[in-house]
Amino acid sequence: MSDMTTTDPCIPVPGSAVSDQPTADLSRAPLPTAATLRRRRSVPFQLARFAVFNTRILRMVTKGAH
Amino acid sequence: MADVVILGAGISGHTAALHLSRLLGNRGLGKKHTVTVVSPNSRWNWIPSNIWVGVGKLDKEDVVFPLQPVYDRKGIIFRQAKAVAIRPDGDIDDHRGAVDIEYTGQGKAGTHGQLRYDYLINATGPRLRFEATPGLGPDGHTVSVCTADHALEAAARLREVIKRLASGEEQTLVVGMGHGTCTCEGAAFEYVFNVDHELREAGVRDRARLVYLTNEAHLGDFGVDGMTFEQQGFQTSSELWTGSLFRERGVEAILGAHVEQVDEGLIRYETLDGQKHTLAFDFAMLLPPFGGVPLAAYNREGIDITARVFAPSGFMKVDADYTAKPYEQWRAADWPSTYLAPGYDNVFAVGIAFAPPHQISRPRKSTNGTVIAPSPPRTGMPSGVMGKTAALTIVDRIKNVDAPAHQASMASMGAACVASAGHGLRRGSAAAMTMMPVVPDYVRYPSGRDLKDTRGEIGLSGHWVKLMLHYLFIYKAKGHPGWQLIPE
Repeated sequence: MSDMTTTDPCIPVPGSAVSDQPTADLSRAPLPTAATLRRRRSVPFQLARFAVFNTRILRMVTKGAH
Repeated sequence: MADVVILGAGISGHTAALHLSRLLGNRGLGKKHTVTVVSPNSRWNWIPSNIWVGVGKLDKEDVVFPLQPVYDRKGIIFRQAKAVAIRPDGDIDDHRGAVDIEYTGQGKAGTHGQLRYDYLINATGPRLRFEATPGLGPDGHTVSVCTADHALEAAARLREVIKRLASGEEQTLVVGMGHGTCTCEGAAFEYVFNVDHELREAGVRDRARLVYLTNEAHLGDFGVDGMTFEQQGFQTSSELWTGSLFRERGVEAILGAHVEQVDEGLIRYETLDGQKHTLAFDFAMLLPPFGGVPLAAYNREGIDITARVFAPSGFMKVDADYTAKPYEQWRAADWPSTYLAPGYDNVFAVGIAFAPPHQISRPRKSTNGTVIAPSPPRTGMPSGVMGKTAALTIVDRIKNVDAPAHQASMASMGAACVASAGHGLRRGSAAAMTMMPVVPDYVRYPSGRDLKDTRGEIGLSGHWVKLMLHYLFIYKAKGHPGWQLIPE
């Protein structure tokens, strides 16, 4: 299977000159580094993010006017 | 004795029904009051997971369940019917409010009836206005994920496209919004990245052109005017954050677009600069614009008061400030907080059924005058909170008619938007966002929102959150033990 990034040269970069459509120019959008991509898939790191995200949701629920 | 009638069994209506049943029953009043839900559908659908049905990762049965058994357990009366008219002032014979219904099931399809109420919650959800764009929708040339059945069809069509890609053909897949005034951009965002994920899993991504076609003027707008995030000591925008994901995954984005017409294999659209374009496609999932479910309203004498009770869009007017004013003068206080219909202290409209005072994103028109402006989202978490808020007010007013209404403005409540970007416990991904509040309040916060709680992150944990919400909310909707401990 393919990697999850456009490092595959067969997939055009959005907004490149070959597009026949008025597509947004994303050539200046920042690409994640290899370390960021690893973190996004690292189970221990993501377990911590899972806990943080759920804590934030709970805080919002308790802070909200309901 | 009070009779409560709820129109609609989606997230907001069903949440209201469960809380009313719990609160009225738990306080020993259960036998005295009735809670009746009117819905044309016999099954409840956890709509956020339709995205996964639409790529073949879940089956329809994973996201729907029958309502009747739940309502039997909870002492809620269920009428499988659609409401056709409300009579908030009653009629000559009875001054209590009434709802005219037409059955769609329970062996009475096509027959009419009337329900009297002391309290009414309109939670009818959206009417899917595929007809607003010729050729749009399952009866036209595109697919949808708005219902579980639509999503099943989308999955089948996607499988065909993947087969053609595997045989060496090139294919163009378009995902996005089928009209300039659509809402739920987050759902289209989710679907496009799930499709991307499926194409990669099938090893055919390099032969597929994947296009996100949206009415948002900027990526990351999501119909909420975008978000500002604080990351590593800097403020950044959801536009930059989202653009990064599109670039990383090789998804093209066409912004500020109004789809005018869809022909077989061809989308005709206009962009904000007034230019007209055509885009050939092999697969297109385009969401429809929403309208209010058509309901008439009559006063006691039988005179039509629909235009007074409902906005032209078909959504019900509530305690919002509907004064027309430019974007620069929009305020958080414009948004409703009690969801009570003006002039009635016993009629509520919650979820998608209430008429928003205006958009949240800056409204735009093309140079030809075509409105290309995302409508405000009011699904998911906010819908459930509104349903619960109306239920709490009703419970209080059953005991004391002068009790103040509970409040939950979208300008003070937060929401989480977990946009799946691929399925799988180890290979899944999601763009998980929280925003506080949903409607930006520039008086309280310079960026419109509380930066401590307005965050965005991409990763595997977002998929776990989305999966957790799937199971938690279906558990809650089934009213299993402890359901009320799960927040809306």
